[in-house]
Amino acid sequence: MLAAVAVASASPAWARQWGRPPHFPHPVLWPEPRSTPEIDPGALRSALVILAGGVLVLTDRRRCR
Amino acid sequence: MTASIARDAVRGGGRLPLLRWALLGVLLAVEALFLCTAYDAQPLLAGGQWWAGLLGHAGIVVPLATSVAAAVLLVGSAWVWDLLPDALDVLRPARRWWPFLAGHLVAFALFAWLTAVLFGGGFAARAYPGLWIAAWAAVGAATLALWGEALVPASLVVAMVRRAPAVLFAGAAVGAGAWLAGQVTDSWWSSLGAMTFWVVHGLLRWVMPELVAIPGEYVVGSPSFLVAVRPPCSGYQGIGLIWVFVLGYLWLFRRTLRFPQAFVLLPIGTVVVWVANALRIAALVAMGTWVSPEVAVGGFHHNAGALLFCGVALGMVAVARRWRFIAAAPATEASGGNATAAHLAPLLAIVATAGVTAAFSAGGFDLLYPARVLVAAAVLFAFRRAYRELRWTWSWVAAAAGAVGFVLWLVLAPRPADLATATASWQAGLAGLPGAAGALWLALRIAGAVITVPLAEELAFRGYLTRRLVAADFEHVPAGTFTWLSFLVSSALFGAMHDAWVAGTLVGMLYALTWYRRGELADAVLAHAVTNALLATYVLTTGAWWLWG
Repeated sequence: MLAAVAVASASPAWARQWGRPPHFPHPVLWPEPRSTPEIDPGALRSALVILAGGVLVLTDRRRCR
Repeated sequence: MTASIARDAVRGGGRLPLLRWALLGVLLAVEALFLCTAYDAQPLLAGGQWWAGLLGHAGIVVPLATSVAAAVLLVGSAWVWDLLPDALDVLRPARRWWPFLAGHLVAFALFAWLTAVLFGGGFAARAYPGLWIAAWAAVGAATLALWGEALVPASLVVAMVRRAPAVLFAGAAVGAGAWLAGQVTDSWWSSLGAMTFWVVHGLLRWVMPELVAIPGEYVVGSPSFLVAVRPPCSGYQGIGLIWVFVLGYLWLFRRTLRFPQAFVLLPIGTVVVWVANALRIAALVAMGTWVSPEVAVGGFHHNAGALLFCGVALGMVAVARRWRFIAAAPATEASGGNATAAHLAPLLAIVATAGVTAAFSAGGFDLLYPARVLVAAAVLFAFRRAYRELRWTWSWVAAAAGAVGFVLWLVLAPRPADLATATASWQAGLAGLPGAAGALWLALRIAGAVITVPLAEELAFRGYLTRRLVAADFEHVPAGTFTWLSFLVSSALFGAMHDAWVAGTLVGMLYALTWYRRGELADAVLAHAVTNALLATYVLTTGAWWLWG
């Protein structure tokens, strides 16, 4: 993945892309600039349940010789 | 000799006041949370006084102290074990700890009042502001000292430090070094943000003809939906979290791993989680452009990162268990099946499906809720042979417990602040479904509440967790075995999984008591199902959709 990105970065198409003047400020910036949290409490809770439960399932001692 | 005595003493069980320590920890956390959420120090920091400068740097105290304490315990774990006999002697009931707790509560009341004076507004008008600040700091220190004395006597800590001062200094140095490293690397986010930006740009440019990019501001997207790559989404958080997770895993399961080969999980995890983050941002732009900006911002952005992180972290564990290069004994599926999976998989399936459906909705009404029911039913069906412990017999006591649970939930569950918005979202969502589809959606919603959720949650929290907290070999713990630790911890975790955590903890206790009474897991499932059936009836008859979250 990283190698692919590096090759793409060096390509003439990439240079053309960066050579263009910036589009900003763009006429449409949906619907206005806003910041949102990376994770909300509900998603954090779900992640902790999945991580704890997943580790318990994957490390169940009977799965080891 | 000393270490051996200490370990024997600890193995003797129950001699350390673990419950008191846990409750004191919870007390301090609740007090800190209350003060942090009730008051804001920012207005006070705007002044140019000497104490404003000091207060402005007070935020480093907690992370630095936590880092140092963790490092001291880590570096000195053998030392702590050696000196535990002294701890056991000092902590015998002969020493009263509750006067210090009472003193702490009084000091905290005074500290809360001083905090209200300082941060609650109007402080600028008071005379001698420096004295007020000094008094606030002194009372705060006394509050902490009294709490610490109730936890462990200071004389014991001093005695332990005197016996091995090098451990304390080494731990403090490691902890401070770790904190300092965190501060230094924090300033590197710009480089990482630039790399993330380039990768996102590289991914999108192949599929998005009208790509918009502002390299200097790390802004990338389409003409209709732009995203700015800020520090939290530069990949730092994910890398830090995966390091914490992998290091914790390496420590906890060190006996099943080969070292130093197992450390290869760290660079692998770092690269994978960073690439996954870049994919997430690219997908966010694609979703905001081609699907719905509301869903991208209101659902995908909050949920996709957590799900991806879980996938990467659990993928690392799966690799670590099966890759012969690092696994001491590669995992194989035992002939008897995985009892842990049978108990936890239905709940995990529901939670993971809910995360995925939430990522594709804008919040509020979850059109894809039926997917949770279908996935949970499929998992329950797959493990059906493992549920021999469920013997279905009617119990009026369990049904009555379920009814009490319903009342508790109704009384204690807090209404959402934006009740009107939540209700409108539900009404609009249901109205948007054609007649038959709406009825089917409601039928599956009720089936989820009354059948799959009670089964999945009771298998996990009562069938598994209450016994797992008694012994690692939970299958051999007799059904309904009671210990205070398993009762309180399993109920508290059940509560923590719900938005209404107080109500959740109490009804969790109720279901646990139902399970302990006859040792029949089906009783707990029945009680849970009755609660949810009554809630569903209440929701449908009164329109209180918020109760269905």
